[in-house]
Amino acid sequence: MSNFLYASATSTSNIQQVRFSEAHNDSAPMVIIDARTTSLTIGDSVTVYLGYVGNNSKIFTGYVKNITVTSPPTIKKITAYGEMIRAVDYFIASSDPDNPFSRSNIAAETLVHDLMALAGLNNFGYDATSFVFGVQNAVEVNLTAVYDFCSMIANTLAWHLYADKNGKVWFVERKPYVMGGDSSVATITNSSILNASYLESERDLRNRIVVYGGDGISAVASAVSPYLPSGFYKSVVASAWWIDTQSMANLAASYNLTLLNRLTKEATITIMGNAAINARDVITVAEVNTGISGDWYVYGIEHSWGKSGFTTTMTLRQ
Amino acid sequence: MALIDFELYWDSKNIASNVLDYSREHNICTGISLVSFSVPLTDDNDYTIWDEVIPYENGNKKGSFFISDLERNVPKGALTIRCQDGSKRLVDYFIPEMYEIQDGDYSGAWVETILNAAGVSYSIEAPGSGVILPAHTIGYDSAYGILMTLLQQSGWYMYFNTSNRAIIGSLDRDGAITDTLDTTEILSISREQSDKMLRNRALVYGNGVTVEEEVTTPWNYDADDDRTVVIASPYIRTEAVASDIASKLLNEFAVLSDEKEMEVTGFRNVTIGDRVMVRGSVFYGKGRVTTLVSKMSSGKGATTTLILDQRCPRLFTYYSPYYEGVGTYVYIGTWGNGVYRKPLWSSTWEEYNQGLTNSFIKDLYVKDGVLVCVADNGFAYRSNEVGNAWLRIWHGDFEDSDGVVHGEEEVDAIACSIDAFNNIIIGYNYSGIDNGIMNSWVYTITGAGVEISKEHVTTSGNSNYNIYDLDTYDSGRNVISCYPTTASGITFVTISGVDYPALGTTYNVGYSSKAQTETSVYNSDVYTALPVPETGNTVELNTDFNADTLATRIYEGSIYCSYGSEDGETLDNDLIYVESMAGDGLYLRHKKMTGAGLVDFYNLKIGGFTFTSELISLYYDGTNYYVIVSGSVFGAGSTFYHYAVEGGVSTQTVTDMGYTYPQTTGHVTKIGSKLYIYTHTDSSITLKIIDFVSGTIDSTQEETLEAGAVLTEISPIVPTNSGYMACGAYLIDIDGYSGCKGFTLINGTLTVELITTSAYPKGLSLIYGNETGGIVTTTTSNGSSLLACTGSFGNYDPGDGNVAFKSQFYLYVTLDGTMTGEVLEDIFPLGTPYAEQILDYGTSFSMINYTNTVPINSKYGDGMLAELVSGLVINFYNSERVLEGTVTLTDADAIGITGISPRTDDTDNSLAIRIQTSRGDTEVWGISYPTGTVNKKLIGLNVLGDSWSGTILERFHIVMNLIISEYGSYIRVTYLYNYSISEGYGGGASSILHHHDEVFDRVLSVSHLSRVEISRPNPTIVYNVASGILLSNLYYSFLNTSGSFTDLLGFNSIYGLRVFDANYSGGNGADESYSRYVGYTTPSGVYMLNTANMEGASNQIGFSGAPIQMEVANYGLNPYMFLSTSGPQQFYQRNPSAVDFTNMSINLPSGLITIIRLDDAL
Repeated sequence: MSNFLYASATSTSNIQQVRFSEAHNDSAPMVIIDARTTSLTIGDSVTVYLGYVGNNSKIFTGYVKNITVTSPPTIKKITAYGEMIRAVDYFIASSDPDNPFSRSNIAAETLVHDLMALAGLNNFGYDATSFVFGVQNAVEVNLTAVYDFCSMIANTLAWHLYADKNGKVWFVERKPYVMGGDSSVATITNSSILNASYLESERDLRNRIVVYGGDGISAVASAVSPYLPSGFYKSVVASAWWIDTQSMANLAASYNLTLLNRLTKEATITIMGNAAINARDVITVAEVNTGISGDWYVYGIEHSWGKSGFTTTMTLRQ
Repeated sequence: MALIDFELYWDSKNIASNVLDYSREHNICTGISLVSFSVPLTDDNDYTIWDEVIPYENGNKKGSFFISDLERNVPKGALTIRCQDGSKRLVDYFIPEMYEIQDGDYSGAWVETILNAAGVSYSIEAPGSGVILPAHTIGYDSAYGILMTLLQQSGWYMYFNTSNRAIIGSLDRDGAITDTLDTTEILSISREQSDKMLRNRALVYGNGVTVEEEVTTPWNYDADDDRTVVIASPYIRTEAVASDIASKLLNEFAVLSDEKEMEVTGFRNVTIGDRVMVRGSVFYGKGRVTTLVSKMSSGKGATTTLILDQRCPRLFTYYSPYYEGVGTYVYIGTWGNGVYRKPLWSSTWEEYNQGLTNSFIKDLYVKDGVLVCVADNGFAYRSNEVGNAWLRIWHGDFEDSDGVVHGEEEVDAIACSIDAFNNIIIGYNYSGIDNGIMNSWVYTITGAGVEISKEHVTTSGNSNYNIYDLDTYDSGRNVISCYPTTASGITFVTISGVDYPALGTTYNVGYSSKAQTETSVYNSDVYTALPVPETGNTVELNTDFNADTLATRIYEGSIYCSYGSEDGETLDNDLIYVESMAGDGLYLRHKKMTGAGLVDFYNLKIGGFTFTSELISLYYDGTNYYVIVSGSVFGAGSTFYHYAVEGGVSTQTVTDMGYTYPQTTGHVTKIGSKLYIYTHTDSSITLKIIDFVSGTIDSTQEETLEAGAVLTEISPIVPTNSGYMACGAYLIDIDGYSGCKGFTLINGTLTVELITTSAYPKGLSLIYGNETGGIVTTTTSNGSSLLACTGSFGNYDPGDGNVAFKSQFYLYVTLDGTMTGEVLEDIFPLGTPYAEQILDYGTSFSMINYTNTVPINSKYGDGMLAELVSGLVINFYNSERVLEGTVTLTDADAIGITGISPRTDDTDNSLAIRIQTSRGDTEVWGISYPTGTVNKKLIGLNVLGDSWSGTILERFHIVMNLIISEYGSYIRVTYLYNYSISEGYGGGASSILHHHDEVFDRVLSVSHLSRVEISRPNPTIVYNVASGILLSNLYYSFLNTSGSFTDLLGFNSIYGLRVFDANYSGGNGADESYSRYVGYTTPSGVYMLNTANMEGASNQIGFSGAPIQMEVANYGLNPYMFLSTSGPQQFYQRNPSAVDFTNMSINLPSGLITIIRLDDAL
């Protein structure tokens, strides 16, 4: 494999530095490109490849949001966000406040799909949920960003909403840890690890979930956690007015309990740059010193490419 | 080394010597100014909260500040003292009660109430009383918090001046420049553009009213990208108020945030709201100071950080729609007087020409105080409102795709613009011919003149583009109107090695003393080798041309050649011409190319004519020669000869038909068995149609054409004298038309009318020639007439001093029975799309007739010919040039063929063109070399295109070339190229290119030379300026991609056009909603299309004159509008909210206004 670094971005040359970051819970990945020359302008679509000559990967597709030109020396700093930024920017505001966007008896995934389509995000994939909204009353959406509303739905159902590096939107059951059926896309060994750390924490653990739906509907799900004192419950409340049946409230509480009632096991490793690894991938790590081993979910990833080399820092969870 | 001029007064003592560090920050969005400084802990002054501190920077008081907190830092050994300006009173003062605002109260009154309650002195400079408030209560909050809410509702802002007085008002977008920052003073600079505040849709929910406004910006991802700003308030009760708010929101937010931050040396005597001119590396232009931080420390000295053009999230529309501060100008480019400008508030114009070396302005752009213009001498110039002098832009060499380098003087600037980064974009065309095309480039420099890019205009390997106009909608994103170069034809033929032999000099045709040895000369750089325009027109000669002496037979116009044949066959190997032999008469010569070279085929002395006899027309059908020559006295009569060749060269039998027409001139063409001969006198035109089957001419056989027949191919009548109908009869498609008039042949009935001489645009209306001679009926058949126009066409002068008149001939179709007594204006009322009726028309300069060629269209070609000539008075009407008056050039006048870049022949003789109009007495349409070098006559020209004659000649270029025969000898041929565009759909259509990401995409083909307008970023408008009967076409696109342009059919004449946002309510039923409009001027006034649906062409802005150029401000709900008019030229201005335009023409120059520009940032 060539050790010569490679980076390319649409309509850009003389790239000096690239910083890319994406995390499981980000609305959209972000890339910052420092370059001498670019003809990109605000709103342009941009695709970024990173890696080495003869071995590079597409890491990003999105839109330019900010360009800063500094001097001296004259450098153009291009900041771009992933495709989901369209949903972040799209603010639902009905021309008639008495007749807002509305749906009845609609599956959650269909509702999300319809909302994403408002923002021009039509390339959509999903895992079917068993949730149906607007059963009792129509779901009305107004004066909110598409992403904010859809993200709320995803959070309520313990589903995951994101757009991949090809711009496709996914509304899927993707937990932020290794799930059954996941397969590793890469193996990281000691030889490529520059540094590593490991953390265990019950910081994000919740063993009592309360869901408030519409029309007085509510549901509670709880479980004993071996990581908490006996009889101690850490609660989280989800208010979802669009849930208007008891069964869905129960289901939402149950899903979130599964998601949140667990110990956070998090490793952070920095390796020699590897642009083939993406956030939400599962990788295998064999690190002997800290004992980080096994399959890990890539919760967050940062590529740093420039004069000082190419490194990839990942936040991993199990 | 300069000492820092800094004073800091506390308790009336200057404590500056105690100060360890100091900073002062002022931000326009908060309206708060803060000062912070440190003194040693050993300082024994008793600083106390609310003590007053007054800093002086460079001797200038920077305000009064009140100590708000004191921090002792032991490790640092310093006491840090933080102070706030008068806003501290507002922040600290808590309104202890609730005020009842009554329904209908104005916000301004409550602003004063709060300021009074806090004990703050103030001045309210904003116009009006604020907005009407609904009934509600305010109080139990800080005065500052309540005040900012009221200011937000009013669209006002606030700051404290150096006297600690609260200034409430709205900012001008422009104004005097208070400081100039050059690169030597700028320590660092950055410019940030982002869409963080970009909103393209505004929604206002009121109390029972909802208003939605939307525009498209180039920074949206696509059409699905709605970014909405919503304001909801129960206090908005009327649609008018809601609409006003929505309009203001879009006006403010439908643009990118564009902030510039720089650290500069020393203290600066500026304050927030000031305008500064920055001449830095990444930003060059004016900007408004919105944040100022001045710092001083013992280690770093004094520096000032300025942030320009910030926008406040919670404040909008604090810019006044009036820009009448000092230093706010509107500019005009003129044809002959350079650039002028006037302050917006003034009616008096002043020159802005320092440094400009040419006063004929083609294009002009102004943005952020940066100016660029293109003058008619081929150069672009830049300036800025601080320097005030124009600097010629030196661009260096341009290289085309073939690696050919063109020097500084070889390219001409054509059009210019300034992009979002204040970079200057200039379109250049090569002034010569290179492999049959001219090439063009887009050159981009910073406002400071530093080169950014040179891009050769090419699409998919095609470089045949000449820039006609360009505009920009974003940095590096341009839309360019181009047209191709086409060869117009061979215009001059002489013989090998003979360099324009002078009279009396003896040279042999084909082998002279210079013969083949001159190859290198002829192929020198001056005469770049060119391909023969069309294979079928190749002239091939060899050295064995003839031993006949040429010089004795050459005089002005004496060599005429013809290669035609009736069936379109091209006689590649033939040269047929007539030579005038001094003292001997005319000789008809026909030479054929054979394996042994060019040999005599036929050689005959024509009659007993003298040296001064002149060939009028020659036609050869493969067997017979038909010749018309003039009598001994030119114009006295013409004689038609028919020479039939029988038996080849050796057995020539010639029949002199001896038919003399009692008319001055004529042209002959044979079609089928019929010979068509045109002649005319001062009072009539005659078409003789002779059945030649019998081989003899019988005048009794002159046919009356039958109804319904259409003449499909007739050679032109050759113009030979002034004021006559020097035009040919060409096929005009009359299908579907039964009422139009014109000039054609209808089988059985010839109905002819010369409609006009000059329908050239005067800018305002169609001008028809003065038909002083009336119409003469010469033949009548079946109730129809054979008509011909007579008289002194071309002398029409409407008396407004601006008429640029040329002899132009429009030929139109007339069906039989509808001719007599028609009035021109009735025949062609304004607004009728005549162009659709006419497929072919025009006149020819030609005496060299190539098979299947189409003559140049005089309608446009003449006008453009004028551009070639130096020393003429040329007026600029819209996109075309018009010749005014008759000028015959002398050698001294001959600056060159292109009028820009001198051209010489290989002996460094200047080549020039003589254009003569029908105003003179000896007018000859055509091109000749300067007076005094009569033997250098340019005989004629033809178009070699394959389409109809609607060729616009933007600019001619003469190229000398040699055609190399297969025998190694040369014949000199002068090609006339024009920068032309076919008017018809299809061949040679002009192109609209989208220039982005360093590539050029062809996104639209249009039928006319078109201008590009992108005043606001969207939409892009492509339109052609009306010209004579040529109406305007208008295309629009929001995407600038292929297929995205919509043709708005049925348009009227457009002279000037701009895109702008407005909320017009005045003027003859103009659309009242806020939207983005396309405004355009026509002969009947100013109209505006709503870009939301591109409808509303009937919306007329109240203006009683006949406008030509227009300009509109980019900001404000009722933006400034400017118009120019002709006859006599005036300038009108409409101020925001004004209903009427005001004439502001004091000291207005006389040169025609070619463009009006207001700073694009306004």
